[in-house]
Amino acid sequence: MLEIRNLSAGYSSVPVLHDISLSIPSGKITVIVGPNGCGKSTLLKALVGIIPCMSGEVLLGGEHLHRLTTQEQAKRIAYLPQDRRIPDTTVMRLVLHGRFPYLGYPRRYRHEDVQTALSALRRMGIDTLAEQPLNTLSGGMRQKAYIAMALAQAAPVILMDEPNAFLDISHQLQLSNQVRELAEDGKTVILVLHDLAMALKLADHLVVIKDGRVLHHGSPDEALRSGSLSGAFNVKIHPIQTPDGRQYYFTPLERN
Amino acid sequence: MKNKRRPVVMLCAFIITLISALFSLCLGAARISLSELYNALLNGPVSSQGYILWYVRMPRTAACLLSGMALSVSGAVIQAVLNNKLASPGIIGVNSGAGLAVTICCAFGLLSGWTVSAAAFIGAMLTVFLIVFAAQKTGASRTTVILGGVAINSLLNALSEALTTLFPEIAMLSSDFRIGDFSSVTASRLIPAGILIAAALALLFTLSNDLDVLSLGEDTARGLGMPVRRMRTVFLVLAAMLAGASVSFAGLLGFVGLLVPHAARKLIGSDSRYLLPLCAIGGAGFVTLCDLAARTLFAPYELAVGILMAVIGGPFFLFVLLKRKGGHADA
Repeated sequence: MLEIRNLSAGYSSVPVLHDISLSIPSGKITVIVGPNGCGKSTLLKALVGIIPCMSGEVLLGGEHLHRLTTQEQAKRIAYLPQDRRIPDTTVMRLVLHGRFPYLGYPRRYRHEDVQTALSALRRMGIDTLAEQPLNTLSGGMRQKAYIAMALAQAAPVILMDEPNAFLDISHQLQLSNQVRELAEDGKTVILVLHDLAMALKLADHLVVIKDGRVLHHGSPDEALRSGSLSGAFNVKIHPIQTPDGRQYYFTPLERN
Repeated sequence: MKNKRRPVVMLCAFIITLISALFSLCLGAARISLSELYNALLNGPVSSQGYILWYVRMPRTAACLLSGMALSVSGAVIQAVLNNKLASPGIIGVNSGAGLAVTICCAFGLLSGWTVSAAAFIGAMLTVFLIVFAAQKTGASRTTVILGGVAINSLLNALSEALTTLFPEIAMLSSDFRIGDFSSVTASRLIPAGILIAAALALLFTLSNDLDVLSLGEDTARGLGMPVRRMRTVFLVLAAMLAGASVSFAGLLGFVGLLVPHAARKLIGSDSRYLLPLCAIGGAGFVTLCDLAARTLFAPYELAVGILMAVIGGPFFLFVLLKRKGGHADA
């Protein structure tokens, strides 16, 4: 269980997040949604410690996360930022860097690190690409390499900031399945998503943020029923039953 | 494919550097044959050839090797840390900072090897932090960092120039120091700088995985547990140490720190575990070759090596700029 208590954070003393309190269930998919600039990416950054917290605390399994060293934090929380470079390196080297928090002295990756990286590659189905340079891969494949890196990190919690950005529809659907599998393996997955339809289908736990405050958190159905979701985005949400389960489409709220 | 090329490229670079160093010891106004070289090395400075070898050629060759290593590795590290392949200690003003510090030292008559090395290191470091601080404060883009560096570069050079005018007795700071030259290298100045360079290189080679993780970008690196600001500082201090030490005996040698890392990266890729050693070996060979050419091509005139380097480096820098415009992901 990841407990966020009264967290405020922001850039250079201007708070973006105000008094956020959330409990995020273990082994489930939590999706954070909200309109542009509401602070959802900032929340992930504050959790990882990229942005210092002004007040409040974060507890993971009873431990104060931000009292740990960055290295110890990384053993507990893996983070895939939205802005990912395409480093001039191979898939295997990138995934091996997932073992960075476990590096001791001398600062060389050991045999067991290589084994962990290899099994992460197999898990993502890209072990045949291990020696490929990352910049020759498609966006979807690169995404898989980055998720494999996060897997190699062996942290119980994985944060992903808009992992479906720039992916074509087939890779987006694959991503949904992979995220679902990660949760089934017992990982706590926290996603920031722009795509509301995908968020509603994927989330076990939905967090709606607007203007740096939590508007609602709970199951997607509750978020729909309470009206907080349509309020946050100023849209009308229409669920439709299809042979493949419930789908959603959105229309603008009519102005009076 | 770059992976498979690595051992071959490394070996070639090593052999070229070795041969350059041998030529550098043998060729010059007085030629020394290989057998004479062997004798003089064994017997020490007893014959006239031995004297030339021990007191002129060896310090000079060592200086070429050391400054080539230092500037190239410093360039590779600065490029990785700033995530900007146009950066190098010469271009962003780190060399000039070290140069100004050396000028101040000389103006006050502090000429011992350790003082000059230490001053050069401090000058280089202050410049690095000035640039990084300005960049972080303003959230400047990668291009702005370079432009800021260029501005700082000319400011520091102007200050050095003014000092040299006000203190005409600064004999060492002839125009040769401005452009980079090895003709006045002495062992007493080389040894402290050499120790600084060796220490910085040793540390950097052990931190190559850290440097690669830092190159993944600030957020990803932090997510992998790296204290990003601290490590960035460590790397920049080490890069400043290298550049400063080199400036303390070789003057403001430009372009090496840009040219060699670029060529090395093209050949074997950006993996620091191999890139840094290749920069060290290749840089050593490159500077030695340039110095050799500069002092033998137009004999009896001796060109300052910096002139030759600028002649090669200027067009190369333009070439890099033009290629970037093509929108290469890795340039």
